[in-house]
Parts: sequence; structure tokens; C-alpha cells
Amino acid sequence: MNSPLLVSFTILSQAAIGIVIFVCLSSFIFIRDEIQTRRSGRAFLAAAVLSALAMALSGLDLGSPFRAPNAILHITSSWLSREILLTSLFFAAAAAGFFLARKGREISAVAVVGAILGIFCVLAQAAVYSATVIPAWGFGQGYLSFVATTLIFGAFFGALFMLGGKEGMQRPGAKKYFFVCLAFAVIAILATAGYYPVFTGMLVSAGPAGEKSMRLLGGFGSLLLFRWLCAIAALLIMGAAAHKQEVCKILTLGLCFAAVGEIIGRVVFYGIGAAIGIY
Amino acid sequence: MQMGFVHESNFCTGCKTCVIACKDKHESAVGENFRRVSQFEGGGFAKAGDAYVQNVYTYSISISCNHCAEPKCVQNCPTGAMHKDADTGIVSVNQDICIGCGYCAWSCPYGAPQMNKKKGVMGKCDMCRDLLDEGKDPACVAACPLHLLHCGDIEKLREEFQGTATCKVMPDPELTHPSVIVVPHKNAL
Repeated sequence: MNSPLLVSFTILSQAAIGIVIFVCLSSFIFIRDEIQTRRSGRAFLAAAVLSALAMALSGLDLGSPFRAPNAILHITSSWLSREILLTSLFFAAAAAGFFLARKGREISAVAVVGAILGIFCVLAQAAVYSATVIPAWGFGQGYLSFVATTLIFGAFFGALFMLGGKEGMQRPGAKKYFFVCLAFAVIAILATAGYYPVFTGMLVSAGPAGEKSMRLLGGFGSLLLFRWLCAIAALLIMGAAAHKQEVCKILTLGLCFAAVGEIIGRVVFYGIGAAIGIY
Repeated sequence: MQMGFVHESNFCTGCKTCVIACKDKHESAVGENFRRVSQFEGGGFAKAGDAYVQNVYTYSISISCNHCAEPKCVQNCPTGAMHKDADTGIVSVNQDICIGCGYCAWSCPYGAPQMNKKKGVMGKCDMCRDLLDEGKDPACVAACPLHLLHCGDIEKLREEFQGTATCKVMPDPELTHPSVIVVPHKNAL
């Protein structure tokens, strides 16, 4: 069930959504000034570029990419339709945020709208997978995994965009924002790691498809170990940044570890997908 | 009316003539099988008094789309290309609007929707609707040399055949309520 294009789509779109959620949080912590608007503008641009790239890659996964607009024709019952519509609306919100910030306009409202659209988009993405006949994507694993990825990328990117550079950590509210980012990253990683034994326990009792997924999971053992080591390293690096005045390089390093961990986690998520069938 | 299939698995030899007839009718590509035959084996040697006797068995199940009463493929299809006919209950795909996302394949516990890589769209069993309109049987039903495949109004078929919508190797019918009756081999129960 592994598809590099779908791994890329979900990771990139969730990173973009995470960025906008943490821009939204920053608008409640930092005072509204020219620096905040400029930094938010850069973050919105990154979110728009990432979500556009994600949508382009997801289009390449289709058998008939030129008919992609048809994908929103069944919004009344298909989570995939809803996901695609919400991703498009989220992209529009991120692009609007960038243009408003570039003109020096107020961006708080568009940040809130973008964050809400993004949250619904992530939930719709998870619903797409939980509505299949693949037990490994059920039991809340898709929801937890996708929300955690969004928060982890959002925390790192948010800290980088809002606290990076010379004056980043000197800004009023910088420490508070940093610890909000760190707290979300810690909670997301701990929740994902803590739920994994529960998830595998439920998978064992999910019939032949669940058993097949468990066998596939066994093949990813060393990769999963590396995934959790990357996550721990990312958290330690982010924690170490709390004492630094210039956090750009150290947070970039932490982001790299976090990204490797999340990409491996997503490869495993798709890789263990075994459908209910005739066994 | 809801159309459906019956497979008398208890007498099936697993010759796969139904698969070949289906592929021939739909000119399916290699690997694209709207109807599939799965074979299951088991048994061994069991002690009977002072002797050992074998209880080896094999049975075959021929499965295509089961034109489910609650098809998840129809519900999940993002374009509405996968649809259920209101008059016959036949589930088919409109290849003119299908985008080939493959989500219907992830939604079907019977592996019915199959990607046509050449066309970039999904394909599946439509119960040979053109043949049904001419008053003929679907290709798989007509081809079965042992007359073990049947199709028609599923309610009437349920009165005629003592079978089940599931057995040891099949998915829980509560998932999609398939319009199929399998008359199972004794070892499939």
C-alpha cells in the first residue's frame, strides 16, 4: 500500500497546516507590530508553497490527473472530496495571509480562519483512511498520527519563523511562545509513542488483515526504532534551544530529525496497510 | 430489485473458466480480474484407531463485485463515478468521470474495483449489464461448465439456495451487506 506520492502529500500538507496553526497561536502571544507581520508573512508563504506542492504531488498519484477537479463532486458522502476541498480552501487562506502580510495589513483573522480550515482538513485526511477496509488505518491511529505530525511540524516551523534570526528570542513573549511550541511537540510525540502499544494490541485482534499488518509491522522494526530515536533527538535539540539566543541553526537541526522521524512514521503507516479480504 | 450472484462453492472444481470468460468479455488487461477464484486447502493425517487416514480438503470460492446493498466504494468515491443503479442495484463505475484515485479499491473488502492502468481509471464487474439487457446471463454465469454460478434477483435466489454471505475465509458481511450467496464447502464453515 506504500505510495511515495501520498507520503509526500500528507507530510507536506500537514506541515503547512501546522505552520498556520502556530502562526495563529503567535498572534495571541506576540504584540502586533511590523516584525510580527513580516514573520507571519514568511510563514504564510511557506505554508502556501508547501500546500501547493502537496496538492500537485497528490494529483500525480491519480490515474487521470487532468480530471482532478472531479474529485469534489461527491462532497455529500466522500471524505476524500471533503479533504480535497478543505486542502484547496486552506491553500487559499495561506496565500491570502501572505498577501495581506505583504501589504502590512492585519493577519490575525486570516490566521484563525486558516488554522480552523487546517484542523478540519487534517481531520478529514484521517477520516479518509479510517473509512477504508484497512484495519491498520483505523483504531484512531490515523487521527492521532496525522494530528501529531501537524503539531510537530507546526511547533518546529513556528519557532523557526517566529523566533529565528538575531532579534527572535529577544522579542517580548518569545520565551512563552517557545515553550508553547516545545510543549505541543512533546505532547504530540509522547501521545503517538504511548498509543502505539495500544494500537498494535487492537490490530492483533482485527482478524486476518490485522494479523497481516502485524507481520508487515515486524519488518519495519529497526526503521521504527530509528524513527523514535529521531523523535527523541528532535525534542532534546529543541529543549537545548531554550538556553540559546540564536535558535535558527539548532531548530533547523531539530526540524531535520523531526522530519526524518515523521517521514519514517508515515512510510510505516502506509506500509502496514493490509485490506480486509478473502484470506 | 437487487441483483446478486450465487456461487455453489461446495461443488466448484476451481477451473477458473468464469475468470477467463470475464476477462474475455471485458478485454481486461493482465492482472485486471473482475472475477477471481481463490482456492483454500487444509487437512492432513488423523489417527483413526490403529491407522492414520487423510482428511485433506480443498475448496474454491469465485468472487466478483457483490453489488452490495451498502457499498462503501459508492459512499467513498470522491467523484460519484462509482454508483449504484436504483432499479437493479448493480454497482458500476462511470469511466468518463472517474479520476483513478483508487479509493474505491481501499473501500471494498472483496477487492472488486481494479485499476485499468492503460486508461487511468477504475474498472469493475457490472454484471455484464449489456448481456442482461438482451435477456442473457453474464459471461461468468454462462461459461461455468458445472452451472455453479447463478445471477438474478437476490431475494428470489435466497429462497432457492441455502447459502451464506460469508464463510471462514470471507469478510464480515455486516461491512457492506453483499448481494451474494455462497453455498459453502463443509470445511469453509
